[in-house]
Amino acid sequence: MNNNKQPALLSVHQLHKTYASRDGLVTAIDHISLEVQVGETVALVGESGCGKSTVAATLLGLLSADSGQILVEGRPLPTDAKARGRSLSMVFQNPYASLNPKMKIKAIVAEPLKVAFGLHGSALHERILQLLGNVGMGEEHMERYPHEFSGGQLQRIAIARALALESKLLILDEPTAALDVSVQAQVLQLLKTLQAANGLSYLFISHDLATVEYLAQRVLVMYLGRIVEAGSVEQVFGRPRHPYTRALLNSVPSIDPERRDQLQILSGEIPSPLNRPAGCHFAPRCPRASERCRREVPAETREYGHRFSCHHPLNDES
Amino acid sequence: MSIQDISQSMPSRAPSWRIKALAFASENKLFVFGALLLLLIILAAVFAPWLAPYEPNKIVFSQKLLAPSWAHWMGTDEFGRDILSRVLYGARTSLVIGVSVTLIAMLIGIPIGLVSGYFGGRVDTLLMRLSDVFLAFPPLLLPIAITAALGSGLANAMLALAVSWFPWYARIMRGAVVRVRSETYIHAARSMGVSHGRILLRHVLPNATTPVIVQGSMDFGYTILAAASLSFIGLGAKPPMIEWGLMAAASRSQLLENPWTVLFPGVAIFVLVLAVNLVGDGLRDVLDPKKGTR
Amino acid sequence: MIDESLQYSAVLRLADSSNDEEQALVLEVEGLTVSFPGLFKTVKAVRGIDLKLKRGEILGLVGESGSGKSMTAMSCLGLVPETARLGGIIRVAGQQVNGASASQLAALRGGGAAMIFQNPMKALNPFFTVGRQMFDVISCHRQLSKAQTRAEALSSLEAVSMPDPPLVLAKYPHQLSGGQLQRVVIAMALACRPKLLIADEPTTALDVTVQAQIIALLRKLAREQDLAILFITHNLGVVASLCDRVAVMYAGEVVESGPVDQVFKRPAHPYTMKLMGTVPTLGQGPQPLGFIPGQVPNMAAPPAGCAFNPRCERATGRCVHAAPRVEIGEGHWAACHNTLVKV
Repeated sequence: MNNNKQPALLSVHQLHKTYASRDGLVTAIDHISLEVQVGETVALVGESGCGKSTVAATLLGLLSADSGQILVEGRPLPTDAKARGRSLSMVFQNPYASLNPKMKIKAIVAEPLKVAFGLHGSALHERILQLLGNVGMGEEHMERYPHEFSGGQLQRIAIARALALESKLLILDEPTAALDVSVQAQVLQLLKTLQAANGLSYLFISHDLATVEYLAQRVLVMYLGRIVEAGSVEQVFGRPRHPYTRALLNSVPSIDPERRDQLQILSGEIPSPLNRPAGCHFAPRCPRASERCRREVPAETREYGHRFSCHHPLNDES
Repeated sequence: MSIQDISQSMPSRAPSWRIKALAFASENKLFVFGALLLLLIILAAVFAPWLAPYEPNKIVFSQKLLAPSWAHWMGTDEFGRDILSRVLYGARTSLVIGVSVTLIAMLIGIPIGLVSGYFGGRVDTLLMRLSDVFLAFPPLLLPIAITAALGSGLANAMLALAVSWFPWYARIMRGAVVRVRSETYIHAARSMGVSHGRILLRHVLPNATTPVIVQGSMDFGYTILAAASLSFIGLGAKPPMIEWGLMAAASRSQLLENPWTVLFPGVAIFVLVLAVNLVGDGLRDVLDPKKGTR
Repeated sequence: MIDESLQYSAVLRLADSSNDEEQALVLEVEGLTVSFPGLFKTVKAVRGIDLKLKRGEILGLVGESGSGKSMTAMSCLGLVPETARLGGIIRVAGQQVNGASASQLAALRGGGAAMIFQNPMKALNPFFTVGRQMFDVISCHRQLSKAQTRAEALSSLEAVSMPDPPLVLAKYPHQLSGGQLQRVVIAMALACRPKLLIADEPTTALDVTVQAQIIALLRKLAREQDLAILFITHNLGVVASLCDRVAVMYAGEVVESGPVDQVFKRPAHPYTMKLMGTVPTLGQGPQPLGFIPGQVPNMAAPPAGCAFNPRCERATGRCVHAAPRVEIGEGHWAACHNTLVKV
């Protein structure tokens, strides 16, 4: 709940995206709404086919939505790519693929600086050094090529590049999924430090709930294009109301071997986006599903900033 | 814990270029062999005036059709001209042909493929159908037709060859561009507001050109063959120009009795094409900055 | 007329009786080394490891990139690149692997041991139906009629809890989801009743709910078919949920090994401890994560003695000498001069 006058940094309202495939119409995002306030990290979680990557692509202008509104600081997101880049930038999942293998690191970080600010010469050089320094890289790395670096280093360079645009919101699309375990921790820590130092806001897309808990303040859970539950991390992870959220939380294997029998085995598979079940999408796999669930799409319930769409939510006192 | 603590030091310094070169040579023996061969041919061409023992066009009827000997390492032709000297000078012509035709064809084909592959849609269809027109002709037919129309001569032959060759490069380039344009770093550039033009030049072109260059280096040999073939049928180089194909053609009546007159120019063509092919095969590894990393 | 089913069950019984003889060690690895000799340097991917696995046991092999875990797994079935040089002894189901002939290896693969990989889509041929590929695998090792082969394929799919097996047999790989494909691959691997299943990060590319299903499936198969599983991963949570024992690898060596509850509850090796500290866990909240300074060593020139010593907070002068194996508990040891647990 946003009670102050300042508009949200990012406000997405009823975003809807479908596309035609060979086998029919696919609804990738189904009227979703979300908000990111200044300085906070909002996470989008879900499994394959939930649409979270489509949301990122649409925000970035790589895909155009069918309908819906995207507002940055109360104003519509610019359609011009250059202006859009000043509002939103992204760190992609695979650092090996998101950096041009034939460009030196210096050129990679220089590009947004040249395009957005027209920097050149010594001013450009200084700024590149500064950006690289903020992510723990240095001058000695500037003349080298991406293939000479490890995944963790590449991702840090990608972060530096994203920060070069000085955009208000950084979209992080599974930034640590392709990295080694111990390197993940370094990159996550770096993201946290940068956020605190520069007042950054993040939209963090991930399937890894533990990482979300570490980094984010608020989280939205998506299933087959819809948001099933949203709220603060304490609310959603601590007292999940939607059965899918609970299943997701309990499916994460714990590092404590004594809890291995608590692993929840959800039956069935995520349906194909071509064949979304009628009513509540999760009904076919839900242990609490009733006839009503298969017929009627659940409306959204809101309780103190915690919203969820379920006919039979967990911990339902009513 | 500061950010600097997180910083990881670079792995041990990159090995010296000498070591890299040695390692490269040992792993790509054929490429090195081809490259040395090509170098030899280039040197022979450049230094022909100094290396040639005789004037290549000097007609000495008394010396005609001499078999290879110490005086004439490759013998003489029916005009008494020293074949070795003519082969050396002929190298110049062949190299120039190969480079020019390939370069011109690439200069036409690469931009077409670039635009076609990147923008797709109607532009793509139009450009590719246009190229298809040229591709539809059997290999030498179009050059023959063009030279017949423009008049024979080496320059016209080269132009004709380039014009009939570019569609291959356009197609290869287009294919590479289609692959590159869906790479994540292109999406990243677009999302940062980089213009299409800049993306084409700085991102697509460097990453998509490798297959074209590899193909071009292999075609180099075939353009020389094609030029020689044109000369053979009288449409390409004309005397007093010295060109290997022309030499073979002019002496073909001597094939059975004095085979060296046809053999040596033929072998020269073979050696050059072989060298170029070997180089082309290994060229891709050289161009890829990821070489040496597994 | 020979009754083939009788013949087959005879083979099974023979196999069973040999089990009773010894401790039924399905996998024995002693002093395994894998190196890649090059012109100027030799990369030592695996530098002397020992592993033992019994029937029905699940061993987790944990490590990050460069630890040598995948190379170890590939060596067990002789799948290393031609440029690799192996040392030590590997015995799978009694058969020695390194130095084995091509035909011996062919008989072993699928029959004695089978392997599944991270990306099931890449393991299957996109041009053939699942059924066709399963039939190929089965008929490679067993002489059965068409009907019997189909029955085998169907029962393999049922054993991996695949819904609607007849329908799946007719499908092409691209028509199935990641989870279904991984089940198919597991079914194919088990179609010839191997004693050992080597799984190289099979759940890394899967959704978390599907991963949980596969974990449950593998546990069930280990129990029901007395299947030994060598499970390679970097995900400690999966190891805790699935494996009986765990071996932690670093820079080509095993640094700690033992029953999962012991190793994870009381890690003795500093690397194990650090590794566990870097993983965010649910319920921990935004607690700061541990981190390991430095980076993985260059495998062409690893540090002398304990490979972890340049990055270890507990390193002392002794650590430049090879670390001894310290017995921590029952079946639990760590290769360290200064173990975390006082012995």
